[in-house]
Amino acid sequence: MSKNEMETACTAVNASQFIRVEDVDYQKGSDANARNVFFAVTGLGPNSGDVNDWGTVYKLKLDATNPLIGKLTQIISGNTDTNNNDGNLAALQSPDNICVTENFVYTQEDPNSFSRGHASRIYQTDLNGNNASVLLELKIESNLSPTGSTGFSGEFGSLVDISDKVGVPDTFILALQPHYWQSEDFVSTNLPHNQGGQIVLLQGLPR
Amino acid sequence: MNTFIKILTSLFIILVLTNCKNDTKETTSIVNWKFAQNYYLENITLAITYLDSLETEGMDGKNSKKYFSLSRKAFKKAEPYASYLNPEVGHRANGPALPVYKDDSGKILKPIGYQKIEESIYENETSVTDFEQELYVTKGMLAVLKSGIEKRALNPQRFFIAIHQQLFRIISLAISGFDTPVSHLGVQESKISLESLKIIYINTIQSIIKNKNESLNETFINNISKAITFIDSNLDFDTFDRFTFTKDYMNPITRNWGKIRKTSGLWEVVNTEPFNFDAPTFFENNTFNLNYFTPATNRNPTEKQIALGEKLFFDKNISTNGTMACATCHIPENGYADNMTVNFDNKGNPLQRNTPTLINSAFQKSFFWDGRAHSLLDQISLVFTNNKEFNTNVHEFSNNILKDSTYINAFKDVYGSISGNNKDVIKAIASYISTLNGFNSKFDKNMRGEEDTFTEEEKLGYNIFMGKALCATCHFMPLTNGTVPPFFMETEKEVIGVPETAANKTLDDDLGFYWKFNEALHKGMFKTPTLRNVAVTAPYMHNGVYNTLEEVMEFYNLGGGGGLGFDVPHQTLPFDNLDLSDNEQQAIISFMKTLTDETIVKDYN
Repeated sequence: MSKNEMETACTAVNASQFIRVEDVDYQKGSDANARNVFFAVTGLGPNSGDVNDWGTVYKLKLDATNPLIGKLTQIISGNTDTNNNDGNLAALQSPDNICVTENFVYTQEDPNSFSRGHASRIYQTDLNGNNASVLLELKIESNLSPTGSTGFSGEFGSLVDISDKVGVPDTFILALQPHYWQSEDFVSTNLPHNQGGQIVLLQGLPR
Repeated sequence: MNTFIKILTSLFIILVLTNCKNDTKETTSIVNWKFAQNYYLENITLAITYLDSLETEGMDGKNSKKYFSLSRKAFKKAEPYASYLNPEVGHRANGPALPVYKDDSGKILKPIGYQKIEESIYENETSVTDFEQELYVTKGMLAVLKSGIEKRALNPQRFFIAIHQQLFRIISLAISGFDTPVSHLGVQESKISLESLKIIYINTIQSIIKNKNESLNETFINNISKAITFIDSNLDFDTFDRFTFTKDYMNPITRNWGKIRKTSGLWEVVNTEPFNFDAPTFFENNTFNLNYFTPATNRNPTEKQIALGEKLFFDKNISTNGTMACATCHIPENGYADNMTVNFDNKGNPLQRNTPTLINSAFQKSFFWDGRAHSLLDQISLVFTNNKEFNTNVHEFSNNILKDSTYINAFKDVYGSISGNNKDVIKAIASYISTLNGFNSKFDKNMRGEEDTFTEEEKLGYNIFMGKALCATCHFMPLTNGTVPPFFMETEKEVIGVPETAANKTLDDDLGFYWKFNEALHKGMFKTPTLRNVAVTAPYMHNGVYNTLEEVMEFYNLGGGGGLGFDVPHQTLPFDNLDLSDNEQQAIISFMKTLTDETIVKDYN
């Protein structure tokens, strides 16, 4: 089936529709844990009239014997001032990537399209979306922008737990994408990609 | 690209896999679908080859235009299936030469595709590097389309939907110059589309039709030949008689094609596409499938739900201070608009923008003048939450409504109970508004052949509207709104530089869609409105600046805001100015006046 044929078929059976599913991950630690699937949905931005303006994170707990059965729960939502009014994290803007470990959900924002007035953050919550805390906030370096203007056009990319691969506990790699960091020096193909970025090592982040 | 990408849950992957199995079963029918699939594949390959030749030839070589035209011809032959399988890429390969804003990354993609290449080789204002980049990306898109055709077996459903889309392209896009705004090859390309339809038909389902209804087969082949002869008799873009072509040559073909589909017995129509496949032409009351345009959560409303919506539509208790109903601005007697520059808010102050008509508003993919809502439900929600309008929260049900006790039973009848929020209220109103559709204008009746009352001036007006005035490259036929055929997945927004007053002295300061991303490209960007009922829904533009259609025509004739000398760097009009004579402008106005049908017939299927 083509993408459109799939969408048409899903709509025809009243499949749940999300604004934009950006990323998916699962709980680590055991096969039973791995049946807990988490995904991030960005939202449409303010003042669009839809039910999801600021973004949400869902937990899908799949049945142990039948993968067609599961329970879907919204665990994090930024919709604290919107139609739905069902949010629990008033600062949240466009959750874009998630990293799930054995005990935590790490949610990374992309305020590139619309923002709540702060740079991209990573939040740590428990597996039910509770006890949210800000782990990191991207520092804006306007000197990296050729125009000097940055807005909040930077985001955290993927966060990946590499502890098992390097044999050092609580070790992660994290992609930084300050979209305003632009230079012809970064162009390496004939595609017009001229943005710089970094991958950094994080140590001591609880899993 | 569709900025509103709804991605569906992985829960349904299993379902999808099951359907894939069905695909392979379908291809084992007696029809030689492989012929058609190969035909599409060979031609997309050829389109790529000719782009290679164009690359060798360069932007201004002596054969550049020849290779461009050959590549386009091959593409047009492959387009039905290529673009059916991948609408986004198909439309980008052969879509407007405008930059595209990616709302997920904030990036602006440079214009690419055939229409940009066309500009480059016909106008020679592009740098060699940019031209090579255009070719590189366009070839990449064609390669994606090619791999789709290779991978996906043609079957009756794909075949009949793809052909329907291509027939629609001919009457709405090809002959209007949308495809080829600079080279004006679109008229000739309609011929190629028809010829390839004939080839495909002969080599796939013709034997079935011949067996069952020989005269239908003959009539169809004959009608295609007649249409091709008609095109050959006048290939000139400026004077091509689109009215006669569509009414007397294309409509017979679409009527035949519907019968052919039924006669073949190969495919039961589906209710999930923008079209009603049983409508004999594209100018019927039921040409469009309302179900497709309705949000999945509000499909198949009952008569009672629609009646409840109608009652709520006129009820001022719906707003917090009891001063406004939907009908305050959308007045049935005024074409569901209000004939005011702008209406008043709930405190009696002027609202921000002109009230648009609701007639046929269901057939859109974005709502409000700035297109900020993606469905009628979202649109109505925002009227509720707007503190200048209904000033209520969507999650709060207004008990004021229930002062009229008949509502209590009405809500119970429709929804089983009175819900604690306004969502059911909004659904009912949306269902009612979705019934406010009318396609019985003088234009429609003439196109259908129900009456023969179109004057020479009205015909001329249609031909210029669809031709050199390029109106129909944004106001797509037959809806005349900005919802782009043949996929109807998005409603376009444009920057045209509307002035602040009818004196045309200064640019209006309403920035339109700009608020959403603060992106310069979007400054002054507004949704393309429908022109149906335009004669009864003055004044015009987002700010209601013009009182007459003459003023509107003059604005476009002078080249929009850019032509008036305003600073509109990102204007999206496909022309600098139109150079239309007074007679030609008047003819377009006469044609637009045939688009009136405010007599709403309730017909919700």
